[in-house]
Amino acid sequence: MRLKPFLLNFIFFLQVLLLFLLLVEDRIELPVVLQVLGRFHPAILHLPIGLLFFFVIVVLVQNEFKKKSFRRIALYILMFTSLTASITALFGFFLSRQGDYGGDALFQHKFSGTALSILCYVLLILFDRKGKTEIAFYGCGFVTIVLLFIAGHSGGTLTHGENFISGPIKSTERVDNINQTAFQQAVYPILERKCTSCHNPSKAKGKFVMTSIEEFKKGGKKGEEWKSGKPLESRLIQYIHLPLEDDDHMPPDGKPQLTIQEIKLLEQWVRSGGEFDKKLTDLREDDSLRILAAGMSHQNEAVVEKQYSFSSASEKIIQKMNTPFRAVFPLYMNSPALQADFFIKEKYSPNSLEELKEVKDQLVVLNLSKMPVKDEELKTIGSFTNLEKINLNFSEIKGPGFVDLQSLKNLTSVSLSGTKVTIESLKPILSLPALRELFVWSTGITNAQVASLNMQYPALSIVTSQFVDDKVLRLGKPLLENEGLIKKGELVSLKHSMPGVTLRYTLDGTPPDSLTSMFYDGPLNLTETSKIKAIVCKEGWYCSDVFEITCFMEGYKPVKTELLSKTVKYYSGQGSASLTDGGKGFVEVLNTPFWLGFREEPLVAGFDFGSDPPDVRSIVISFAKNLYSSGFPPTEVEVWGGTGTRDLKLIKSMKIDQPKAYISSQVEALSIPLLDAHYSYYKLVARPVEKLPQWHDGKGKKGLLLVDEVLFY
Amino acid sequence: MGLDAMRVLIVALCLLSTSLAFQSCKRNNSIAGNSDSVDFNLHIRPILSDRCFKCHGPDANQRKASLRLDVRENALAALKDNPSAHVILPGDAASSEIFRRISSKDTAEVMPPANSNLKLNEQEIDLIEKWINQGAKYKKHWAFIPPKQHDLPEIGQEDWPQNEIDHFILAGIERAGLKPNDEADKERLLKRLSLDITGLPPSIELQLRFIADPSENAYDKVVDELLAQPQYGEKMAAYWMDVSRYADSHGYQDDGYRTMWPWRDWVIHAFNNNYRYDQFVTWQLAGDLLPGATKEQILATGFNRNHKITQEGGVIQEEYRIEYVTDRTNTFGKAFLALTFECAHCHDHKYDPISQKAYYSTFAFFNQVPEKGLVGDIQLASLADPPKIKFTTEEIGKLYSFINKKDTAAVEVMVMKDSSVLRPTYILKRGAYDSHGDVVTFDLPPAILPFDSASYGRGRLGLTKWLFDRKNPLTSRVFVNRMWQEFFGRGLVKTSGDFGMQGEMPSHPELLDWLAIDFRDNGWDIKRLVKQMVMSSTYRQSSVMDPKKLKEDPENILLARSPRIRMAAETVRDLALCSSGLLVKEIGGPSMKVYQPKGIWESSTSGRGILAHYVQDHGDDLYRRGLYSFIKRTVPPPGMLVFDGSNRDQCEVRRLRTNTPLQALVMMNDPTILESSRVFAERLMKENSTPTEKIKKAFRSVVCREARPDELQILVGYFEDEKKKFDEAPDKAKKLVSVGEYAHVDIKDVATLASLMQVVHAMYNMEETITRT
Amino acid sequence: MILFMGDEFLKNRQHITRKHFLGKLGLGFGSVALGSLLMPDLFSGKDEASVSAGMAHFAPKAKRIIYLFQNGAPSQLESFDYKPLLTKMAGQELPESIRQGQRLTGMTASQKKFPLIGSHFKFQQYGQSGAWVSELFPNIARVVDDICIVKSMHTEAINHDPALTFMQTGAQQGNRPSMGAWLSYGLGSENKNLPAYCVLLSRGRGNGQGVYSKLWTNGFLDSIHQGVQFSSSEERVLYLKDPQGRDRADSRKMLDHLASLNDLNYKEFGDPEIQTRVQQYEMAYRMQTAVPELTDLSMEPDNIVKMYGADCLAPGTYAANCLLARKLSEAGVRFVQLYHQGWDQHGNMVGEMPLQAQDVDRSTAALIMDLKQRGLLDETLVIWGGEFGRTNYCQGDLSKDNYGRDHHPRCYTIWMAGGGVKPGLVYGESDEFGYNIIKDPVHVNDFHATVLHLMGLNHEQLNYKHLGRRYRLTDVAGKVVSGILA
Repeated sequence: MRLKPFLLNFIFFLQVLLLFLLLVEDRIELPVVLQVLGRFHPAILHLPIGLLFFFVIVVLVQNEFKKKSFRRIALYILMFTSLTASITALFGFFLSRQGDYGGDALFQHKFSGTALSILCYVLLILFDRKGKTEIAFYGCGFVTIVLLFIAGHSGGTLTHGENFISGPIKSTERVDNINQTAFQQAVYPILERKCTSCHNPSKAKGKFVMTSIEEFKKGGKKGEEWKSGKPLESRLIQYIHLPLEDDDHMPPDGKPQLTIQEIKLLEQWVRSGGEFDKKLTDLREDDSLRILAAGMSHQNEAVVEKQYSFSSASEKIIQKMNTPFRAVFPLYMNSPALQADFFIKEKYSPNSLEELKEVKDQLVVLNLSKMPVKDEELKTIGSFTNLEKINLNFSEIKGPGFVDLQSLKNLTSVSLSGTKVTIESLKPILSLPALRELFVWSTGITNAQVASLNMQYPALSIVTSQFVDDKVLRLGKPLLENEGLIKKGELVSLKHSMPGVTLRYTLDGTPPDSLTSMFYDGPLNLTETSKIKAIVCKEGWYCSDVFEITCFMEGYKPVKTELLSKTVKYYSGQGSASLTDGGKGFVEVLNTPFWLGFREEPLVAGFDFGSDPPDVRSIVISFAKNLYSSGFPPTEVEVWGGTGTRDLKLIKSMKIDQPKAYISSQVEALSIPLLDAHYSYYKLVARPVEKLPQWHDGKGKKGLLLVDEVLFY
Repeated sequence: MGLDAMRVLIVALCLLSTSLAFQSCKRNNSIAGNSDSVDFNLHIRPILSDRCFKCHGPDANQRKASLRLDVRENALAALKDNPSAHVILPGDAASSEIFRRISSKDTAEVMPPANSNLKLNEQEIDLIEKWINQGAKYKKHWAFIPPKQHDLPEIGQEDWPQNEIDHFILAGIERAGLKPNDEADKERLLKRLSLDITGLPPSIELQLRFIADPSENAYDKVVDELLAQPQYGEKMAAYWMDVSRYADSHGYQDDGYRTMWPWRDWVIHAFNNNYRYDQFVTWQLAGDLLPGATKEQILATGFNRNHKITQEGGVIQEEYRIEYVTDRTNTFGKAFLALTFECAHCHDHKYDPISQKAYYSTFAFFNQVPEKGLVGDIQLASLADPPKIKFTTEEIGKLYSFINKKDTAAVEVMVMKDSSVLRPTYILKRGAYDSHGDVVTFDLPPAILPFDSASYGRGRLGLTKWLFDRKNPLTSRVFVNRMWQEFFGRGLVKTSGDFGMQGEMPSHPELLDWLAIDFRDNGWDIKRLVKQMVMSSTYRQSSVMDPKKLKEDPENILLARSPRIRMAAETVRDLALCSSGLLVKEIGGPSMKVYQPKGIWESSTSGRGILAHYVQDHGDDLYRRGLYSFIKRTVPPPGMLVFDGSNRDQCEVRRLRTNTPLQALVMMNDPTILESSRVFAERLMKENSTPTEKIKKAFRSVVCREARPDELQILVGYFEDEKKKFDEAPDKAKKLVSVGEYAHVDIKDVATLASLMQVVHAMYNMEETITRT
Repeated sequence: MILFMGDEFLKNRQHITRKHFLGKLGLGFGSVALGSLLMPDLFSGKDEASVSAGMAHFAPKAKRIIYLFQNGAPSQLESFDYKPLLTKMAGQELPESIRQGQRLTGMTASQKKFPLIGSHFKFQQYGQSGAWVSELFPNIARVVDDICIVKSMHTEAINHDPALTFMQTGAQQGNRPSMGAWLSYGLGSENKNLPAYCVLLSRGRGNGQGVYSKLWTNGFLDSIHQGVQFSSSEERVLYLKDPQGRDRADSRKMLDHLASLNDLNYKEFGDPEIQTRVQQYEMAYRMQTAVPELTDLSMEPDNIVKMYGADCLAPGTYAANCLLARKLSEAGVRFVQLYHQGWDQHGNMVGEMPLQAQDVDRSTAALIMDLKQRGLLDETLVIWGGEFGRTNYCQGDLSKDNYGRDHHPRCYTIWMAGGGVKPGLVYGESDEFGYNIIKDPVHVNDFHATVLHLMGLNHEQLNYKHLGRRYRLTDVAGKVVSGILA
C-alpha cells in the first residue's frame, strides 16, 4: 500500500522544514495566509496529545489484540500522532512570529514543541523498525511524555499568563472569607497589587520583602517598617503620604498609586495592632477595619465589571444584526453582553425582533421603546434568557403576553410606561426573582393600585407619575409671524404654538379682553401702520399677558428722498436712503445701516413725489424708543408741503409727549395725520430731546432721535 | 535504497520552494526586510520621541531618573543609581538597560510604564535592539539638517518622467514593485488642473479648445493660461486665509465687526503678481520696519493682527494682550517653521528642542506692539483697533487700486507697529500672564539656526532675515511641502504643521530636499513651483485605484496614482455658481452675507454689536466666490463648517476631508446649489435644442466631460420621469423653480424647466462633481 | 519608503490584520474573546487604535447626557448654597483673610469696598436629603432627592468666554474638541438616524453673554463629531428641509438615480469613498424622516405640556428645549447640550434672578420627573450649572433694595442627576462666607473625568494624537470624583 511511505516521507519533510524555519527564523516575514494558519495552533494542538495518550493505552493493553493487528493499529496511531505533532509545531511557529509573544516561556515552548515533534517522528521510526531497539523505544517514549508536559505548561503560560494552572488554588484562598484572616483578606491583596512587584525575594527593593509574613514583620534595611498601633510612626505609612515628587514616596511616581480606601485600610490595620491571625468575622460589626474591608471588596479594582458566564457572539454576527433601524452592540469593550435598540417604528416588524435569536444568549438589554410590539412578540423576548433590562414604553403591549416572560430569571428592570397594560396582567412579571424596578406611568394602572403593589412587593420599586398638577398656569403670549416692513397686500398673521387656544385682539390701542375683543380667525388685511394688542386664552389655563406690537405697512414711495441735516457718529446708516428703503432696524442694536441718529441737529428730510403725487392722509415716523441708549421720541415735528424746496408752507406741527420713566425698548410709530395734503414735495422736521429728564441716568444731556423709516399713506 | 534518494529529492525541492515563497513576501512586507541597517531618524527617533521623550526628553522639569534619551552622551552615560549599568551600550543591546526594560515582561520593570498607556510593539523593540547592536548611532533630526542636493535616483521606466519630481516618485513606486498609472484622460486632467490652479471648473469653451488641440504643448499652454488668470490669486489666497486665521469679526463672545478685508485684497494681489515668497512673507512679518516702508508694505503686516480680540467688558487687559502675542508666536511657528511652538508656552517642549526660554525669546519679537487687551465697548467698538492704517478713496484710486473699496468713506485696517520704547519680555511661568520669570530678549531656537542679531539685526526684520537665511533648514521645505499638499492632497511630510520629532517622517525625503533647494535657488518663485508640480507625470496620472495599489498603499503615499480628493468648502460653492454661469467674478472687497438658514446668528448672539442680527446681502453680492463669504468667528458659515472649513479660531495649515451626511443635506437643500440648478436650467431652456442636448451641455459644464451613453441614459430617463410628474402637478413645478432671488426668466413650459432643474441638481450631487478626480 | 510610515502605518496595518483575522476566526467561540487571547496588544483597550473604537472602555453607568448649561453663571448664593452669615454681615467688608488675594475682573478691580450681601431670597430645606434650596426654585426643590448638588466646583478663568470654553472643551483658549465631540468620538452614535451630538439654544430675560459654535466644535476630530445645532425655526436642523416643490418621494427618486450614477463612477475608479458617499446620502435621507417626527412638539399630551409649562410648545424657549432634549435623548442621542443665556447678574440681582429662575425652574424639574417615569433617569446623566460662581460681596454700591455680584471662579455650585450619580447627596462645602471651598474641591478637570467615567470611558485613555501631542479632554489632570458615584 502507498499511504504509509508517503506519510513517512511527508512527516520527515515536516521535521526538516521545521528545523529550517527555526534556523532562518529572524530573517523571514510570514505571508498572511500562514499567519492565519498560525491561529489554529491552539485548536489543533489537542490532537497529538490525545493520540499520544491513546497510543500509550493501546500499548498497555496490546495483549487484548492479535499481535499483527496491534502493530498495524499502533503504527497508524503513531504515524498520525507524529503527523499532527509536526503540524502543530509548525503552526505554533507561525503563531510565534506574530502577536507580541516573547521571553523565556516562548523559548521554552518553542524548544519543547519542536523537540516533541521530532521525538514523535523518532518514536515512529523506532516502532516501525521495532525488534532490536525495545529499550530505545520505551526510553524515547518516556522522554516524549515528559516533554509533552513541559510544552503544555509553557504553552499555557503563554496564552493564559503565569500561574494559570496554580491560579485557582491561590484565588480560592482569597475569596473564601470564613477561614481567612483579615490580613490575607483585606491587607495582603493591597500589598500584592501595589508593592510586591518590587518588594519580593527576587528584587527586594530597600531589602524589604512583603511576600511572606516573617519578612514583612522583619522590615527592610532601615529595620522595622511599621510599628503596630502607631501608623504615623510607621515608615510604611509615612512613605505613602510623602508628596508624589518626593524620591521616597511609595509607590514611586509612575507606578500605580494607592487609592484613598487602600491607604485608609492599611493605616487602620496598623492602628488596630497589625494582627496577622484575627479573622474579619471575629471583628465587631462596627469595627472600622471590618467596615473598610467590606468597602474594599468592590473598591479592589478601579472598575469592577459584572462577569457573564456566556461567551461573546462573533463580530460577524453582531455586524449582521446591525441595521440603521436596529443597533446591536456590546455593553462595553470585550464584554460578551449585548444591547439591542430599535428605531423608527415604521421599520419595526416582529421578524426584526425574531432575528435577534441569533444572539439570544448574549442579549442583556433590549430597547423597544415606541415600537409597535404586540403581546405575541413577548414569546420571542421570553427566549432571550439572559435579559436584564427591557424597555417597552409606548409599545402596543396590553399584558396577556407577560406569561411568556416568566423564564427571564435575570430580568431586573421593565419599562411599560404609556402602554395599555392592566394591573392584573402584571402578575407574572411581579413574581420574577430578580425584578427590582417596574415603570407603569400613564398606563391604565392608578396610583392607588401602585401604592398597594408597593406594599406587597417591598423589594420592588414601582414607578408611576411623578408630577402633581397643583396649580393653574399662565399661557405664553402669541407671536406675529410677519417680519420687517409689511408689503402692500401682504396679510398680517398672529400665531400661538398651543393647540386649541382662542386669540383676541384690538387695533385701537385699548387692552384686549377674553370676551368682547375681536376674535382672531385668520390673517388680517391692514392698510395702515397700526398697533396690535392681543391675548390668548384656553380652558384650564390663565389667559396670556398682552402681546403688543406695531405693524409697519408699506406706503407711497417718494421718487426722491434727501437728508438735509447731519446725523451723529455711529448712527449715519446709509444716509438718506435709510429713510425710505423699507429696511426696518432692530431696537436693541442701533449702530446698523438701518438707523439714522440725530442729536445736535434735528432730523430734516425732503421727500419728492414728482409729477403726480398721491393724496397723503398721514405720515408715520418709525423711531426707536430705547431709553437706555437715550433714544427718545422727538419733542416736536413739523411737516412742510409744496411743489419743491423753493416754496414750502408749514402744513402741520405737533408736540409729542415724552416718557415719564424707563420702559421696555421697542420700535414705535409716530403718526402725523394730514388733511387733504396733495403736494409733490414734503419737508419733515423732527427735533430730538434738548435735555434728558431728571429720572434718566443722562439727565441734562441731549437726547437722541433714532429713525429708520418714514412712511406716507 | 531508492526510497531515501527520493526522500532527499523531495526535501530539497520543498525547502527551495518554501524559502522562495518566504523571500518574495519579505520583499515588500516586512520591516525586518529592509532594516539590515537601522536609521536613527527613519526608525528609532519616531519611537523614542513618541513613547519615551515625554519623561526622558528635552523638558528638564518633567525628566524622570534624570535620564534624557534625545542626547547621545546622556543616553550612553552610566546610570546614576547604578554605575555598573548603562542605558545604552553601543553594540551590546543585551546588556543595555533600555533594551532590558522595554523588553521586560515585569509590569513593575517594563518601560514605558503601564500607567502611561503607551507601549512598544515587537517590531519596534526589534528595531531598537538592532540599532543598539549596530552601534546606537544618533543623527540630528532630519528637519534641522539643511536640505542637501541629491542626484536623481536610478529608475527603470526611463520614458515616464516629465521632470525631476517624477524620478524621485517613480523610484519609490518601483521599489514597492508597482507601476504608475497612465496619464488621465484630457477632460478629467483639465478639470483637475483648472480646479487646482484657479479653484474654478474649466469653461466649456476652454474644454473644447483643449480637447481639440493636438499639439505637443497643449497642456503646457493651458497651464500658463490658467496661471495667468486672476482667479489663481483667489485660489491661493483662499488657502492663505486659513494660515492667517482671517475673519471679519473680532471673535470672543461679543464678536464685533472688523475691517481686515483690504489685507485680504492685498494677498490676492500679491499672488497674482507672483511676489517672491521671501518678499511675500517678509512684508507680512515686518513690512512696517522696512526702510521707507510703503503703505502697501505696512498693510501686509495685517497678517499678525488677524488673531481674535476680546470685547468682553471686565477682562484683565494684560491677560488678553499676552493672549494676542501668544497667538502671533504660535502662528509664526506653525505657518513658517511647521513646529508646535505652543507646546513650549508653559514648559520646555517635551519633544522638540524648543526651551521655554527660546519660546519667550521668540515671543519678544511680537511683544512690542503698542496695543491694549481691550479697546472700547462693543456698542461703539472700532472696526480696527490701533495700531491701524487708513486708506482714503483718493489713495486707493491712485496707488492701491487692488483694494476694492465700495463706499466713499476711508477704510481702516489693523497693522503691526513697534512701540518706541522696548517692552521687556519675561518668561511666563506655567504660561500664566501674571507670573513673571527672567527677562529674555530677541532670540530664536538655536537648534534650528542660531539667531545672530549682529548680522540679521534685531526685531521682526531680523527675524525675517533669519527665516530666509540660506542655512535655515525649514522655511523652504515647509512651504514646498504645503504647496505639495495643495496639489497632491497629502504633504510629502503628512503632518504639514509639524516637522518636529512627533511629526511624520517625509515619504520622499530626497524629493523634499530637492524641491526646497530648487525653490530657494530660483528666487522663491511660487508660480514656477506650481507649474513644476502640475507639469510632472506624477500629477498627470489618472486616479483609477486598482485593488492591488489600494491594498499595498491605501494612503497613496507612493503616488502610484493621482489622489481623488473631495473639494474644499469654498470650491464646492464656486463650482456650482461658476458652472451655472451665476458666478460674479469681481475680485476683492468687503465680505458678503450670502443665503444662510434663519436665526443662527440671532440665537447665539449676546445681543450686542452690529453683528447681532444677520442681514443678508442681495443682488451680485449673493454670487461671489466662497472666499468672500462673511466669516463671523463665533458663528462661521454653517455650510463651510460642514465641508471642513476652518473656523478661523487659530492658524490652520491642513483641513480634514471628511464625508458626512450633513454634506449630503447641504448639496440637496442649500438654496445656492438649488438656485444654480434653476438658473442654469432657465438658460438652457432659452437655447433652442432638444432636452438631450441640453442635458449633455449641462453635464459638460457641471461634471466637465462628455456624458457617457449609460450616464446619459440614466439622466434622460430621470428627466422624462420628472417631466411626466410635473405635467400632472404644475404648481409643484412652479414652487420648485421659485427658489432664489436671481431674476426669474419667464418660461412657459414650467414642467420642462423644473424637470431640467432636477436633472442639473442631480448632476451637482454626483460624487464626481465635487471630487477632484 | 512605505515601510517606514511609523505609527499611522502600523496602526493601519494592525487594523487590517485585526479585521482580517476576526473575519477568518469568527466561527463559533466569540471571536473578540479569542482575539484578545491570541493578540493581546490589539484588543487590550490600552492600544490607541482600539480606544477610538467607539465603545465604552468598561461598563457605563450612563448611556446618554443632557447638559443644561446655565450660561452667564447663576449665583450659587441665591440658588443652592445657603449662607445666612452673609445676611447677618450684610454691608460689612469682606475680610482679607477670606479673599486671600483672589484676582478681580476689570469690572471690580477699581472698586474700593467689597460689602458682603446675603441672598435677598429665602431658603428652606427640602426632601429627605434636607438640602437647602432658595424660594426661586420651588419645582427643583421637589426633585431634590433625585439630584446630587456639588457645592465645591472651582475653575481657573474669571471671564465668561474663557470660563465657558474651559467648561466645554477643557481648555480656556485654542480650538479643542468639546465634551460632546469627545463622547461622540469615544462612544459613537446609538441611533444611526440622528446625530450623536445635538445643541439647543435659548435666551432668558437677563443680561446675555452669547454662545459660539466653538463650544460644540469637533476641534481636530472628524467633523462627524461636531455638535449639530437645532434651531427654533421651521427647519430644525440646518438644510434638513426638502426644498418646496420636492417631497420625500421625489428626493427618494433622485437618490436612486444618483446611486446608479455614482455606481458607474465606482466601477470606473474603484474608490471606496464613492460608496461611503452613497451611504451618507442614505443616512441624510433617514435623518430627514426621523428629525421632523421628533421635533414636532404639537403632538405632546396635555399632562406633559402642563408639566413642562406653557412655553414648552413655543420653539426656542428653554422649556421647549428641555422637552425636545428628552425626546432626542429618548431616541438615542448620545449628548444633548442646552445653553440658556442670561445668568449674568452684575447688578439688579433682585430684578433679574427671579425671571431667570422662572424660565428654567419648572421645565428643569419636569425633565427629571419625565425621565424618571419613563425609567430613563438611571441611564441618563442630567447636568445643571454655569461656568463659574458669583462673589459674596456686592458689585458697585450696595443699595438697600438691590445688589449685584461679580464673577467668582474659586467656588461655585452645579448639580447632576441620574446616570450613576448618588441621588439626594450634597457633595463638598464652601466656607460660611461662600467664598472658599473647605471640603472636597472639584476642579473642572475632575468634573470632566467624572462625566467620562460615568459614560464608561477612562479619561486618560480617551485621547487623540494631533500635531505630535496626545490630547485629552482632561488635558494632563483630572481625578474621578468617586464620592458622588452611586
